[in-house]
Amino acid sequence: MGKQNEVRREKSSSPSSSSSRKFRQKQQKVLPQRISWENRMKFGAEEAELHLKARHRNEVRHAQGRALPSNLIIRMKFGATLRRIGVRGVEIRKPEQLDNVDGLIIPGGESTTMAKLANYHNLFPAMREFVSTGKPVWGTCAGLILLANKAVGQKLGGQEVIGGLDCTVHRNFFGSQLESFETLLSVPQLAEKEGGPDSCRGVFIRAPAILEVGPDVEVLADCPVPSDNARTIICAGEGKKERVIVAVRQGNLLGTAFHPELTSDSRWHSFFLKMGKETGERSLECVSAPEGYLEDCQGKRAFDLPIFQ
Amino acid sequence: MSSDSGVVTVYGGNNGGAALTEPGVKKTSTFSVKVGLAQMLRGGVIMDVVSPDQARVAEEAGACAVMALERVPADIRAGGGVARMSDPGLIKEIKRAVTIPVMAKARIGHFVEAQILEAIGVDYVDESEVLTPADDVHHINKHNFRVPFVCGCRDLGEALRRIREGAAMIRTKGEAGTGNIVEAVRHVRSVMGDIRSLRNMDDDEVFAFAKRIAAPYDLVMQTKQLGRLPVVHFAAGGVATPADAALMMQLGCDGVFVGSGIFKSGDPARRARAIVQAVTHYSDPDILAEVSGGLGEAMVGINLNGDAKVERFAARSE
Repeated sequence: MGKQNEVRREKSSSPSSSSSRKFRQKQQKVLPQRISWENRMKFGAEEAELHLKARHRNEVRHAQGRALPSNLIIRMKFGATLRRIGVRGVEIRKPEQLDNVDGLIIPGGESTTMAKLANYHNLFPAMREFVSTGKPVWGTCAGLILLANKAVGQKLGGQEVIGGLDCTVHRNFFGSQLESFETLLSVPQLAEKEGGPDSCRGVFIRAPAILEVGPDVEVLADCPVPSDNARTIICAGEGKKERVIVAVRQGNLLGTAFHPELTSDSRWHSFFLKMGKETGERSLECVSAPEGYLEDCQGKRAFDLPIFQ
Repeated sequence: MSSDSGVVTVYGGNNGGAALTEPGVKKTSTFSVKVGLAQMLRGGVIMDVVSPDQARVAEEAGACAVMALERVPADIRAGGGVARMSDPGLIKEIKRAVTIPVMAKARIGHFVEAQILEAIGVDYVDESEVLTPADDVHHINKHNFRVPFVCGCRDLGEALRRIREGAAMIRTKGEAGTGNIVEAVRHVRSVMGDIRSLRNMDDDEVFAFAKRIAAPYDLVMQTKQLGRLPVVHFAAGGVATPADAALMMQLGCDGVFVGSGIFKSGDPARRARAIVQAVTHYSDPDILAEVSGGLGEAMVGINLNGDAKVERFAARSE
């Protein structure tokens, strides 16, 4: 069985776009002054090419962080950004694959759907074990719901969660798609560790929010509750709350209610990779400085459309 | 180029932080937010449902969204007459029944139907050729809405025209309600083929290409640079089996819409789950073989070869 997996993994992680990579290198030599722009476009192209060959379900993917020749997966959305900071990802669809990765990113998507599919493939026990080993795990949006110990506002009959993060999450807190929004979040801890401006762009899509956290949980960002949204305030229970928590960290677990994978700011990604290091786990190396936020600072938002970056 | 002009620049514009809104202040839905939801649906299956019970079956099966309708396309085809937006009451009931996103169809060009759908809070509006078009020339100006739109296309030019009108997601049209995948394959191959030839094109040739396919130059150029459509791209129209769904995925789509194929078959719950599995593991024939077995009867389907009597929904708009 192990052998089989090995083969499968090699297959799936073989660089399907070596030609475009060569092309990129060549281009960078020719046009050094345009690297960031070119890079972006090319990450786009490479992404797209990869995407034609390999596509996935909103399941679970991860990041493993040894420098280059490593075999890991992440969901495509994280793919380009992680590549940019020198880490490669693999997609996880089967429980056995979890044995070979150093970190796990559970991306956004529909938490109901993700829980269903994880159930079919018996991923929950494997993911719980993974969380309990203390390896870094990051959940965004739906992934945050799966990581939380308690989730409210679920479908009829509830849904299974992995648990581990000591907090209560309200599914779909901000409401439906019409209530989805973008905002600037104040993130002093992130800025302190990763540099850059002390705010970051948060894209909230049918997003959850964290209502309560346990004593060991560090709050990294919060966001004001929309005042016109009476429904959510009622749901929040204990009277009126003015701000809800949208990013937390507990040891090696990171949770964000918004989607850093949809913006070009790669600070969250490198923050996640460094988490393992701090707590004495095998270090996840970050080989190059994050450049994403710099471009944002310079107002080069021209290609910041969060598509397939 | 500013967002005031009503034209949303798909590139994200140079409007800097202007698009950013503080929640609590009046919210505008940026294009990023609209596209973002579609991104979250990637690799999933969207199912047509006509009742809250069916919606729950779809949710249990692992659908990433449901399309709320009064009649599935096969019944629209069989019933004839004018097909219109569904009863808002029904859509609301379906919305209450499930936690996954709910989409609904509006007629092409019927912006008031779209306003109604926005008012009842659907998560996505499908400006669909399956319903009888309300305007045979114009599509809805989708920039005017906070709710995101998905539109059909048969080729690259049509897809990019829809994106310029504000569509945040594209589905290839196929031929809805036939259970016949041939048109869907034709349309997906047409889009993917055009993108492949576009990628190999010299930059100087893109102007003429844009003119030939009647699409906005900037979007054509962006497609060339990305090597794919600049928004999420699903397949639709004729998917009836797990194999059909996996075929669409292997041809390069981001996900699949299944209309009549599920609830017109012998065992909807099983078939729905099988199609979801097939889309997740679309490139693993062992799993496809496993999930394709014992599903009961598939929908009957309509042969499209040379039968001029079958109305082509796909040809209703350009």
